Amino acid sequence: MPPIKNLIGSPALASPTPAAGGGQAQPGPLIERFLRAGLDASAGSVRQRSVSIPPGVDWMRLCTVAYRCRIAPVLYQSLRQASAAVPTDVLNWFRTQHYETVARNMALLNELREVLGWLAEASIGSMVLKGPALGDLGLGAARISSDLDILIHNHDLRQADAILQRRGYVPWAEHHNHNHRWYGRPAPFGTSVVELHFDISDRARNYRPDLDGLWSRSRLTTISDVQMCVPDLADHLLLTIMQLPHHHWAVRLIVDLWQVVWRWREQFDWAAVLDRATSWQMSVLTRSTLHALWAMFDAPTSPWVIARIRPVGYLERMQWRAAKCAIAEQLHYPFRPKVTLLVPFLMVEQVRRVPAILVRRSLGSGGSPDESPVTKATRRGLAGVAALPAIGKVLLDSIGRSTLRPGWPT
Amino acid sequence: MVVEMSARVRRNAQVAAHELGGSEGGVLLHLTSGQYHRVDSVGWAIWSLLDGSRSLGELADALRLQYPDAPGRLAEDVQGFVQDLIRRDLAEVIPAEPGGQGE
Repeated sequence: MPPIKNLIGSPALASPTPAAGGGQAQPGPLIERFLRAGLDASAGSVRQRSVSIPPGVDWMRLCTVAYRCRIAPVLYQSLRQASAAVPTDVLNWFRTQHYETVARNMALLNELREVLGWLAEASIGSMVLKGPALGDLGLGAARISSDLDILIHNHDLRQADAILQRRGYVPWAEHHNHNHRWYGRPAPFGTSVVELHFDISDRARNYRPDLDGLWSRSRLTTISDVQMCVPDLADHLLLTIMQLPHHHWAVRLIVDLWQVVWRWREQFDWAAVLDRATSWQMSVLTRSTLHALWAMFDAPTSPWVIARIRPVGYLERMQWRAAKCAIAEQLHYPFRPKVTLLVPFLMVEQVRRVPAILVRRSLGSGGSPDESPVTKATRRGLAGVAALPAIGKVLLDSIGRSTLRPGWPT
Repeated sequence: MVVEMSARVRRNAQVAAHELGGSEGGVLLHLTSGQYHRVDSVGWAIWSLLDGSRSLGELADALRLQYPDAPGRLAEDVQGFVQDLIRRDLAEVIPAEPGGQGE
């Protein structure tokens, strides 16, 4: 029987601080291997496949990349099985990240319980998007979430706004936009943030989810004793895919998607999923994402689906390749992204929209309100110029039909 | 403060708990203070038994069924652990009923 050593305090880690590694091996390929080996571990379980750890790993950098990509709790599930080869302080850092994430998720869920209760009292229909609802479909408590995303009907907005403010939530007007509003209030575990959605379309890229259908297909579920309305499985998959351009193909979202595809593969009617993606005007985004999950992370995908997510023509080959490069770039060069910065503007159904999106973004629209339009436009312009060689390589590489074989882009 | 072995202890309602799975134990979050704590697998087993229905002595007996090879001083270890939980406001002693036994 193990000793009863019981309680461990609550360290507040603001940044990764394991001992410096000083090695030569870059963490990207190792993280990639850990992800591939550990993704099919169910929440809370341990993986069965082992990953060999090469000598000279730069552990400090590995922790930094994992922290930046917000996948430290996921990697912990693989690392703890390889603990013999992982330095103790590194493993402890990952372990702490995992525990902190679990604690934060518990706090978020408690906050969600309260908010949903207030809305229900006022007979306001609500649907929980992302966050705990997405975690429940995949990573469980290992999913890092920072806020609560709640969808309400447009006509309930004024009442919901009044309720949140009455309960101490302050609107963050500078973050409001055409489809959601932000609110925050102090909480014991840090600021509690609610993102109140009343529409979910992405006007810039012309993604048009069927809002009425989303409500009619939604279902009730219970997560840790909190009853909530959540999107139908296929809707949730597509809504998560729709987040990718906004979050620059964040590895965290890719992991979420992998989990959903892997765990629920038998439940999906893939023909219906692809049809719905087309009707939402996000067929390119959906097919390229599913292709990347299959080609880069071995996501289980039937031959029928593979045949339908293959790119058709040069333009699609370029889009597919750009998406894969964006994912790989975050693990291999997280602090020198190039393709990643431009890919969100390329993933549209109609290529004639690309110049308009690029011009609008170049002029400083969207993004953080804390940055002046001039600074934003300058920064984006410079980033675009810096990305030109990488984008040029994608354009050239896409000429050959063989470039989209399974594997990671080089 | 020493908690008697005859005392009944229950979890604080303001504490959320999550089992980590495997042999990792669990995480306890005090919702009012925002402090979180990790308990190992044995700590989690004790936490799970802290429903207020049994005395600490009975709890130690129930735990011994789960860990037959536990050392002889299991009851003292359980007592120390539960005292620590109470000190951190994660659990509370159930007040004895007037005329009740064992308090």
